Amino acid sequence: MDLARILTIEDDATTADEIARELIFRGFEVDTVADGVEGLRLAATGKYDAITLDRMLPGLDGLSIASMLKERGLDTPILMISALNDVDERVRGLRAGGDDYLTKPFALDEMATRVEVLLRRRSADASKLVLRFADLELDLVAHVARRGGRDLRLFPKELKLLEVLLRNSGQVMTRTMIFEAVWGYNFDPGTNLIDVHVRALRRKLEGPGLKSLLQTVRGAGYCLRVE
Amino acid sequence: MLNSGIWRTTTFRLTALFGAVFAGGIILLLELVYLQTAQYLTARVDRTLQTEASVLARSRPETILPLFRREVARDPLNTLGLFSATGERVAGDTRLTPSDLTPDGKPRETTAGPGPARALAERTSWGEILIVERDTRQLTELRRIIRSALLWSGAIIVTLGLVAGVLLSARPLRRIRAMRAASEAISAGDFGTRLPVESGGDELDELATIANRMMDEAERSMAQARTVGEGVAHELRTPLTRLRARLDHACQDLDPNDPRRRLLEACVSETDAVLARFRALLRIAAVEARGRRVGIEEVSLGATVDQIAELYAPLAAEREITLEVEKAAGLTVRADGELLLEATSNLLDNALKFTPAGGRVRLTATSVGGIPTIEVADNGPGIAEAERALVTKRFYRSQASAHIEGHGLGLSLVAAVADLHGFELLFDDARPGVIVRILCRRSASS
Repeated sequence: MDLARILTIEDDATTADEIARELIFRGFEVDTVADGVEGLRLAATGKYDAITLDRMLPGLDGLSIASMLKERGLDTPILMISALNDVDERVRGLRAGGDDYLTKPFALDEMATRVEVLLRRRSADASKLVLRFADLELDLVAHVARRGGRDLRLFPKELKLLEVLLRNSGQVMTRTMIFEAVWGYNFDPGTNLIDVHVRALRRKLEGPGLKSLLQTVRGAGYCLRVE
Repeated sequence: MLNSGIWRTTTFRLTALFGAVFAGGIILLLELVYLQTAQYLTARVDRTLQTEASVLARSRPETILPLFRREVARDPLNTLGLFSATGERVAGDTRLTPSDLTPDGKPRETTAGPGPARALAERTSWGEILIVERDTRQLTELRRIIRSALLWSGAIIVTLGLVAGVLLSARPLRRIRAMRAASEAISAGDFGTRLPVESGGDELDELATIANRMMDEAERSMAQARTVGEGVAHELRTPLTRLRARLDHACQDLDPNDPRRRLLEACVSETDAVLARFRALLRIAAVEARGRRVGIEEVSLGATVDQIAELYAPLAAEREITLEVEKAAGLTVRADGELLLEATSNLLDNALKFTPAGGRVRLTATSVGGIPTIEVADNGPGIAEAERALVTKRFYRSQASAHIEGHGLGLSLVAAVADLHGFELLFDDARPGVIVRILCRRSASS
């Protein structure tokens, strides 16, 4: 994979530096800019694969930048980063054109993982009706999951969990990301609540003689991949 | 506006007192005028009586009768009478008789006539008794005039005093009310509110300014205390996250059988625990700072309970705990739905954590005395009575649960959410176990 280019629009020098360092550490090329107007100009060039965008900026605020970019037909995925942890704020951020929303303070690897997910989502086809990974398949219309042709009996939330993992297959999903994507809540679930749900799903996915697909990534989260 | 509050204001009392003193002064003044005038008029009447009597008494028996007639004709207010030494009427038309008066020449008040009068009796030089009487209706008339003047002026003064009192008190009272409203808002947790200060700079303004300065100071030190804690949590998160990443990398580099790897893994999970604690702390701070900005909406308690039960069912199953859900239909409260979910999830998380395998946890949406309530009951070890007030304190961990993983912040968050809504958080003994209730009473302010 050639180096993906990320634009970080962030006015706080320390935070910008931390974000850039973490993303470079993950193997991305990163440009940082502190000013909203300059950020919009750079983002509009279309040479970036993803953008991290601070909500509060001098010059032009994050919401306006996001909505202007979307109006110009630019589909570069945007991770909105904000100190405002309000449901309303979150909804506003996503409506303005943010593809994901992260609240300050955030863990750097959480941020980087979300950027990776955004990069992958760009290449994945969101309109697919059947999601496949290895011998696993999920029919989004019939709400049926199969492994090697055998129907899996999954509860609605387990189907949703599987869908989220399939859409991001090969990509590490943190527990917070899973909790947000499957349940839609933004609070911190008990330490092992997500683990329990993933374990329950894993028990149903796997069987004797079958390869394990749903991997635990120690200290990070979960990932759908063949070991 | 004219309710009982006005009667208690200082301005009103001062005005009323002033009115009373003024009315008293007027009464005294009029009384003095009356007394002086009455004294003067009486003295004049008495002098007239005495002059007349002395003229008549010093005349002679043969001239007295013509004098008599002349006097009566001269002054219709006077009545005369001449009586023999034995008391029989010789002349004159006074209704008085010698038995009514002592013949000593001193004027006296009499009431025998048709109206008030003064009279005197005197012996003539030849031994008959002379009575001179003078009508004093004027005096009574004067007293009546003064009394009615008193009555009217008194009524006018009292009315004016009351009206002035009410008018003068209305403004201070309105300001006091504004101050009371502001103080109530402050005690309800709106620490940004200040007492209103008008530009006049009177003693109320002075007090309000002092109180405001006091509150500025209190707010500043409160904010300082809070930001120190938050700041520490905030500042330490990034380096800790980095530390964790390094430990994790180091861990990955080691052979799975290397004993050092076990050690590093323990370090990673310790760091995770610290990070979780910081997250919880910052979350509580965020909830507390949210203050009045919560997204209040109509929330169904039944739905809240269902969602949380669905979320925790696998965890309960894995811990071999029976999770029961009960809900009364149609229970709604006005609350921030997501915060209520978070609080309920913390309560259930706690119950599942502290109940041993084989135990039972019940999650209920019910109505307690008409108040919609979320209730989580378990049959675990319970909370000792003495510890109940402490469990919502940050970082407090029950002695009985020292062996169970956790950061002691879960109930603090529940308490913060309850506080934010004006809901009540109650602990009760389930014998065995504990019942925790969030009583979602409708707060008066919302």
